[in-house]
Amino acid sequence: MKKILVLTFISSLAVASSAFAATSSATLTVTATVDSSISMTIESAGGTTSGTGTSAATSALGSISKYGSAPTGFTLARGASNWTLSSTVGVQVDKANLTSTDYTLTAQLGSAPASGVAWKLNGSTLSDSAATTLTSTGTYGSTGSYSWDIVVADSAAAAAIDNTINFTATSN
Amino acid sequence: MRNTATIAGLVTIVALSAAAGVSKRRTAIVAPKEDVTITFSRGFVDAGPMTHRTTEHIGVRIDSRSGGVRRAILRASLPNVDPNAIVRIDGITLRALPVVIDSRAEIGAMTLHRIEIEVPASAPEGALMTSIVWEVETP
Repeated sequence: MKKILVLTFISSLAVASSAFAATSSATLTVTATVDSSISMTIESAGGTTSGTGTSAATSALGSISKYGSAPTGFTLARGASNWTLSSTVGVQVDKANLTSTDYTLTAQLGSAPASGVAWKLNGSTLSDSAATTLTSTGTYGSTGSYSWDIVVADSAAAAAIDNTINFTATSN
Repeated sequence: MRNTATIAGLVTIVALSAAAGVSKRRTAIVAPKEDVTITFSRGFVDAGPMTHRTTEHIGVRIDSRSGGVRRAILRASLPNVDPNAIVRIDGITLRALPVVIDSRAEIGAMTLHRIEIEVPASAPEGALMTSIVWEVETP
């Protein structure tokens, strides 16, 4: 008799415990506005380059001279009154959430070039006062290769020729 | 022998009586449907302008009127899955079926959860809206 009552009590507890399980739900609304965007990376360049794959790469050419060796990744051509270091720059533009099919890429020097030194991309001489168009039909997602020449006059002073090339990509 | 039979009969009657009592008890102690509630730290989440990925935080509080439990299972789901958006809570990707976000969610305390929205590059730009259903279940 005692056993039966004890068992009944335990059974009651078990039923009571499972009956207490409760559930509830609530809904949270989440909104956002997806903006289109593009990103640009420098994929390659002559010289001892760091920062490739990012939007801020650096190429160190070291000491350069007409009758010395060409820097890593460059070729050297000697002219009658000047000499030219030639290489390429690889630029990639990617897009996201954008219907545009191509882009325009321009380049501009960050500061005026040293006297007697010309910076060229795709054969066009760059300046620090206006942007030069490299392409108006750039393909997203692939690296565009642009010829890069630094032309130094024999009359140029022996000094640093440091400069910055600023690329700008604009979706069409 | 007669005594044994009498005792057996009494035991049977008592057992049936006890079972009937359990049946009545079961009806009496069923918890109210809304015994547990979920409240958010804000009414909705507006992530604003975003590209590729954005993260927001939301406070979720579970309360129990009966106060009989201290932990609960918290689940979340996306009833209307948008192929142009991946929604994660605390790193767990949400789908149409509920997934456990916290198997031991504390009751009576506001807990912060990280909502991450990721949009593939192929998705069109523009407004994005989704609803996250949160479910709580006490043991």
